[in-house]
Amino acid sequence: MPMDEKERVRQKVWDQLEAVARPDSRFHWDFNRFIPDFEGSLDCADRIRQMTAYQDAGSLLITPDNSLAAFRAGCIRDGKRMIVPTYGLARGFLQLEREDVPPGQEAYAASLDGLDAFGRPYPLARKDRQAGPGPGLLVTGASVLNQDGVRISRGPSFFDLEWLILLSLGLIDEHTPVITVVHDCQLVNLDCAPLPYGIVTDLIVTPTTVITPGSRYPRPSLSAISSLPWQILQDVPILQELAE
Amino acid sequence: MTDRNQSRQNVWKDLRSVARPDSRFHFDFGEFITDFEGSDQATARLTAMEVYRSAQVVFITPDNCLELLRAQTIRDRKTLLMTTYGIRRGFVELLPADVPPGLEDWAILLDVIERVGRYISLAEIQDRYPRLDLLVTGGSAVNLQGARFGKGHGFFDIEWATLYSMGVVDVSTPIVDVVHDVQIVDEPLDISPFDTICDYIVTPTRVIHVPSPQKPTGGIYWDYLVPGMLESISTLKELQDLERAGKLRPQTTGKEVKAS
Repeated sequence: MPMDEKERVRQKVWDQLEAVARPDSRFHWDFNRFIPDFEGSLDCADRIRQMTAYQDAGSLLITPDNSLAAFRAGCIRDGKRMIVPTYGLARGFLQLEREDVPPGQEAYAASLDGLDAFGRPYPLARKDRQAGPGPGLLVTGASVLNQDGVRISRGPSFFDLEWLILLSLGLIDEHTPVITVVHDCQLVNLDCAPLPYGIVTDLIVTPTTVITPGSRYPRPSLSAISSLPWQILQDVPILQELAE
Repeated sequence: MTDRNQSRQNVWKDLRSVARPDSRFHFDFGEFITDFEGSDQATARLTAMEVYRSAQVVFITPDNCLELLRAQTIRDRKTLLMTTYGIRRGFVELLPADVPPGLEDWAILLDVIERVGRYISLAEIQDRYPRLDLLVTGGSAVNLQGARFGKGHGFFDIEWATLYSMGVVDVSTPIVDVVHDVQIVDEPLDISPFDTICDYIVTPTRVIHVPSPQKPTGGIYWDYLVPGMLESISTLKELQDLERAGKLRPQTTGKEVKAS
């Protein structure tokens, strides 16, 4: 699909999203720079918390999207161990466990400012990491998604990068389930193949429904790192190391 | 005279080793005013000062180095006014009664304060707070004459000019600039008529009093706004509306103080 067509679709979704979204503390309404929280994000969180995949997972990777703040707070309350990438992967990953957060402060700890205050670094080097399983479930937000669970995007999302990093470290495999949370208005009916490094979600959760995409695209292999745009490798040093 | 951009770059190099990253902007000092090692000591110095102790209504900018001060303001049962980042969503009011005891440190975070507190229009500020007692800001760098340079946008100059035009501060209202010692530059700077000079510079190690600081009395210098600011800062539009309604009332009766 041509880029300008994708751009047009994204812009159209964003125009609708503004009516239900909440501004970011720094980025205001600039959806190019963040994935906003929206009305109904708590309903999405509650839906996921009832799922077996969630209840079975001791650790979760949750992206630092604002739409997942309520879900992150729920995870802390449920005693899950969370691994959260820092915004833009600028400072790697953080981890957070129940005992890191005083009762009553879960909602604060779930915000990006709170994660910085309560979270601890999650070292990627194997020798620095406490031996333990990687995340059993991956939960991400998205800007615009089609009915097959494919992101309508110009390039790799940070989630795609995080997935490749975790895969290359052996912390997840291609079967680790992926759930994507979006508002209903972020879902579009549009045929679009994933990018070579694109992770297609197993499940779409909105405030009103849960969708299992019909066609399953295979997960990328590690070699997808080499097809990442050059600029991304420059911006994310971890990836550059993995690519070499 | 020194090029402000060059000075800012020099300071940022030193600042990197004592700075704390922002949750979004990492160490990109062009985007935010960073917290630093020793901000707790600077806060303790400031809160011991008479200008703080006697203040009831305090305006504090959304700079990361002022997080502890904002929390302490609530603990000390003072009213806190803050602008949102980039003044994009105007001013926020946070009252001690809004914050459950023990949660002060979290309530004042940028990600939280807009939910715990509430937006407040300029007209509401005029109604509820005819007099702000203290203004506190951070900055990228400041010289010993109290001339500060922020991120380069002049947000604090706009905040001062707005509050001054509304008549809720005057030239005697104390302004404190909280910085790390590495952010103090010993260089003269060209001072523009819209530069808002602080009365005190507070660092982790000392308090510097600035004699006769310039507090601009000309309101917003519309012609000098960075392009796009008028469109992105709705507060400026609000200010124009107040002006048209004849509700601006700058307090020109305070003692006139000019830059020496």
